[in-house]
Amino acid sequence: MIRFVVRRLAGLVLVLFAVSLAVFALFNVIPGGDPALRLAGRHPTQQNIAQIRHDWGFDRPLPVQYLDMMDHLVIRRDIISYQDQTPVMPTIETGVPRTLSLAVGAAILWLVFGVTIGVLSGLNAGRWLDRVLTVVALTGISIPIFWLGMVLLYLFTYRYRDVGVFSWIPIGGYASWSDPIEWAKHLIVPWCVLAVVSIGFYARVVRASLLDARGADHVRTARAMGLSRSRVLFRHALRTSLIPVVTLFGLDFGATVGGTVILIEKVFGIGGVGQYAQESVAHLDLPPLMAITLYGAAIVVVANAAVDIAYAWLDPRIRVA
Amino acid sequence: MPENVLDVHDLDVRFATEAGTIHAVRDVSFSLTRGEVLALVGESGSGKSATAMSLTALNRAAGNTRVTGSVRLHGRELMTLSERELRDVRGAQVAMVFQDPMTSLNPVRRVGDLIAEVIRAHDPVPRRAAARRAVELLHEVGIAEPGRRAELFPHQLSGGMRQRVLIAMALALRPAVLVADEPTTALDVTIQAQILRLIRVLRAEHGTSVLLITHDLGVVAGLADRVAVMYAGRIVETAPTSAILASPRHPYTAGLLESIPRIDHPRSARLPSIAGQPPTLQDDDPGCSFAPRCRSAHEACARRPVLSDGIACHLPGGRR
Ligand SMILES: Nc1ncnc2c1ncn2[C@@H]1O[C@H](COP(=O)(O)OP(=O)(O)O)[C@@H](O)[C@H]1O
Ligand SMILES: [Mg+2]
Repeated sequence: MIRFVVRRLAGLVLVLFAVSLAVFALFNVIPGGDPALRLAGRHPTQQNIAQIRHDWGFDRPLPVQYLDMMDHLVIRRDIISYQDQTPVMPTIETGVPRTLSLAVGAAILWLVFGVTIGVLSGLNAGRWLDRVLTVVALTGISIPIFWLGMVLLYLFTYRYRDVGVFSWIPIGGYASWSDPIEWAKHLIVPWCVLAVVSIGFYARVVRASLLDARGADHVRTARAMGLSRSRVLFRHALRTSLIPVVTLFGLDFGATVGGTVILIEKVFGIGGVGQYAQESVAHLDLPPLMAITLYGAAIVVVANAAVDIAYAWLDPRIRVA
Repeated sequence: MPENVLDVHDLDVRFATEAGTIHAVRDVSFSLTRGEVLALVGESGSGKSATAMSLTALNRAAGNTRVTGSVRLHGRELMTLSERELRDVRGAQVAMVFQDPMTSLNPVRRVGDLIAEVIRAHDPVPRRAAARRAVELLHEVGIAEPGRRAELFPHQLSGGMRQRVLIAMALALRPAVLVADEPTTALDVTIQAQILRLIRVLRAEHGTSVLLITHDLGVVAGLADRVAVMYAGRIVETAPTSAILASPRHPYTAGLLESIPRIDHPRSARLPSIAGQPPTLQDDDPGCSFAPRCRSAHEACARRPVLSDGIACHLPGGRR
């Protein structure tokens, strides 16, 4: 375990280094990337631009600029944005818990409901419950997320605002952890919207995988030895059929944090890092982009390590000696 | 006459498939006395596994299977038992060992734990006692260092070793009947011999009756007391092992025997095999189902021969 953690930490440092280099290099080759031009305003003189270059240090060799940026970002943590010259770190530090609350909450929802629906479907394969759940799952998969987000927002917070059951739903925004009830109230609709596609998808995967496992030789052995139905299901069939779910989850969580979450943050005005990232990209603002990318990479690496641990627990065949 | 441990009477198995009904087992009857080893022999697809699975209604869960007939264990009818009641029979009174030891053990559980789980499913002993018993069983089936091996996962064991684990599991509750469905088919020859020897020893020590299923008559000689030969879902010949090996009466049995490699034949000689394919099990032809492949078929074979005196053939011994 210690070796695993050490290896992963070393990997994390390497990944962060490579990602930061890539972002930095990319930024310096794309057209329109020159921050001095952007900082100088609409009608700059050559002199203005040169002055800005000098003041901000853009005239130094690229490796020096890179190291300087990393110093401000990682060690001094006082890096400021090119766009509006505000400090980057405080904005990110308010944003990260929001984005993680959104992503982790949705992930828990989609795992719990995806697996439950998949198991129920698989156990009742071909019967009416399976058919109903299949329709539900396929509907979930086919719904465009941003559309669902806006429709729900409209329905709950505007159209049916006066209907008692919905009146507690806040109109977007975010409330901090310190008040867990408010926190959950603000996030419940975004969580559901974010989870709905994955619930459908995971339900299908679990169903197929469980049906496969039920015909597997080792499950036949368990039945032939007279184990109870629930033991055969949970200790034998289900455990092996969850392996593909873990694989998928490892991929999906990263993709969600880097993709759909941004959309949902914007629709519900959550003010997470996703939204910040989107604005920074629009302005080609390197400092926040660099910071956000590194945070994102770190989260993905940590999530992958967690997935590997879950993997090793589920499947001893891949345990490293 | 010793009392029968297992009595199977008119067992019939049909699978509903998209291509129509497959009538895999047809009017199969046999019995096992205490400590007896009966070999069920036949080409692949002749219905041996379907027969084995039906004994404890393991194929009941699949919705497409219809089983009729009677299976009695010590006189008690199993076919009418509920799933709940069958659980107490499975593993404890009738245990099974399957063909493929590589896939028949749960890959994510330790082998000692798997054996202990079976013990505790039938016998409410404390966890520790079950674990100790599992190690004893591993020792009994000839696994060296059983204490250490019990902690391993199936993928850390060889095929022969895994088959021993499955046998240990099957014998954990000292069942009256062990059904071994091609227990050595997936193993190489030396390991095959070891596993067969193990089954022989265990049978002798505990008086377990064994239904040994195989497509290989070579496996039969050293282990079985009696042989039942199965063709296209029916038993076509049954006799004591020595008799069947020395003078097979059914042409199909004779064909099977000829296709066993023999030490006293030159190695280069091609093994004869029975020409043709077994019939598809969809249609129920009125005649002898072996007739199309039979060297001695004649007009009488258009009627189905009934099994009497251990043989279902109009011309036992073939045309002379
Ligand atoms: N679950 C099933 N569904 C449909 N057909 C089956 C099923 N199991 C076995 N069969 C068919 O029944 C016949 C007998 O199979 P089996 O008992 O496995 O033969 P054996 O064990 O002698 O090789 C084969 O034709 C096989 O394809
Ligand atoms: Mg078979």
